[in-house]
Amino acid sequence: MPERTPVAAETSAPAAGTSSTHGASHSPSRRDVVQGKDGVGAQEAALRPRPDDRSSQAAPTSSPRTAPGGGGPLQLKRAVQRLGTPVQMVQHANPTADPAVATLMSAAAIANFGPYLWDDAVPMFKLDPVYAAWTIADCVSTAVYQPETNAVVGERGNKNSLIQGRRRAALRAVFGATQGIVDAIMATSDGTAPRALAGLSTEDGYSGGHIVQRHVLGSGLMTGNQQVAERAAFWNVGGTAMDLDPSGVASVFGSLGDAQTAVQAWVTKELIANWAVHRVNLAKNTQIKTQLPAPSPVVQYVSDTPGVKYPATDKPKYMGGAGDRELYAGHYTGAASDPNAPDASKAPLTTGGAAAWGKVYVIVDPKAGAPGGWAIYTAYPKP
Amino acid sequence: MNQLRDLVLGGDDFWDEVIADSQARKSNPLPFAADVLERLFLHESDKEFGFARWEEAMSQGIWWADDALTCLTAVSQTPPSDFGAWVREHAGTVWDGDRPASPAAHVAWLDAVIERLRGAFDDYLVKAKAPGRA
Repeated sequence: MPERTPVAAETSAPAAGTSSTHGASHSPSRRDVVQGKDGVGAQEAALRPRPDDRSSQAAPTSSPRTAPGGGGPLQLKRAVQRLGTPVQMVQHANPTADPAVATLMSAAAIANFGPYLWDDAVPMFKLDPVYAAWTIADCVSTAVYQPETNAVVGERGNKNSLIQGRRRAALRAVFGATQGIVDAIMATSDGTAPRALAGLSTEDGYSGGHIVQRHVLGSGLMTGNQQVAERAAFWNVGGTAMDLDPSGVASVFGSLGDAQTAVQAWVTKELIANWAVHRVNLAKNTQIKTQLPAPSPVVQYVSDTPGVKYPATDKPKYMGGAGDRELYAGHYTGAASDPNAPDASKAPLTTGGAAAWGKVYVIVDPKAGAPGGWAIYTAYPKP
Repeated sequence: MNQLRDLVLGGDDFWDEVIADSQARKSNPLPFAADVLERLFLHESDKEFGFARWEEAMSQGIWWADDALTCLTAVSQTPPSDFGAWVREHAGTVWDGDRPASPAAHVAWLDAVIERLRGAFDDYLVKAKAPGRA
């Protein structure tokens, strides 16, 4: 049974950092957490305000109030008008504060309300608006407190709604709302449209990406066809590792202008067209990554051993290596009689060249530190 | 914190979506675990940059990181068939040398990564709860 013991009990948990909060040990039973069997309980203890914090933040009231589980009487009373007749609505933050409520809660096996009040005028549980002892453990979407699982006779309301409301309140209290991305989104056109696409080198600067370094012919390290083919064969260009996926294809836009045009087409057809959806996803700290039609000149090469790079020693002798195969057909321009000339009877290491591809693949990072709350992380052509 | 009505960012609808996303991810962890590896590591030849991306991801939305660790761990505990190939496909793990490492090496790499991500997550929580935070 989920149960959350009072603040005072949790402060006896062991010191923070004693173990992980995730994975196999990330979803311990609530009892485990309370008993400090893993780091969560310890962190809660370290992070949770002291009992005094809560009482000091309580709304002004003439009724005495103590922390849940503190043992003292705890009632908030306010009069409301119902059907023209004054009705005394009583909200209880302690299952033992009132004899009638105590009977109900005992029958429901509820010994602690946690962050909830029991409103016996409805009757139903409600979040205590002054509850302040939120921790990360309260951010889970599963039941944590007894009122979220144990039904009280005559109770109205929905247990799942309690859980969702508690989680939202905890997320806001513990982590803030969206931590910067929203502010950045709102700074452009009040959030109604994305900022304009910057130059791709600027986007690289925003995101820490490498579009210009490795996805554009004539830019960065991809100064010519040779470098594209080297990447396909050796996954390395000029000493910089450039791993490839198992397809073994290395490709670049034909020029920086071609790349800018293709990415702009993506921004127009995807980011702008679906901004209402994307801005929410960005605020949720989620990437945007899609492929769209955007015809573009490209240069592409593929190794004849896709997914497996050639050792550096297989670099052709005419390029300073020890291999006897040409990098790609037509690459070698020296004399056939040269001792470093490739073996014409053997196939080149890669095949490819200039082509026209029809699509662009773009990934956008959510980025609190970038204008507009986002930045192009990578973009490359696709066939 | 900005919260415009038309965006409902940070509002109830927003958090409902966050909660729903989280539930969906955890009920089927494999696709989201793949997303996490791709976001952090796939496009980084130097995988160390992936850990810097993790720090940023945590600072921008701890719920995403929370889901990430849960799903990565779940996948590592109940791995798909050909797990090594799966790791390589989504994390882009390649080692220097003449040929890619064995599938077991990719899996071992992922196990170490999960532990490191978890350590950073724990550290982040401690810092995030410094005095002054709710």
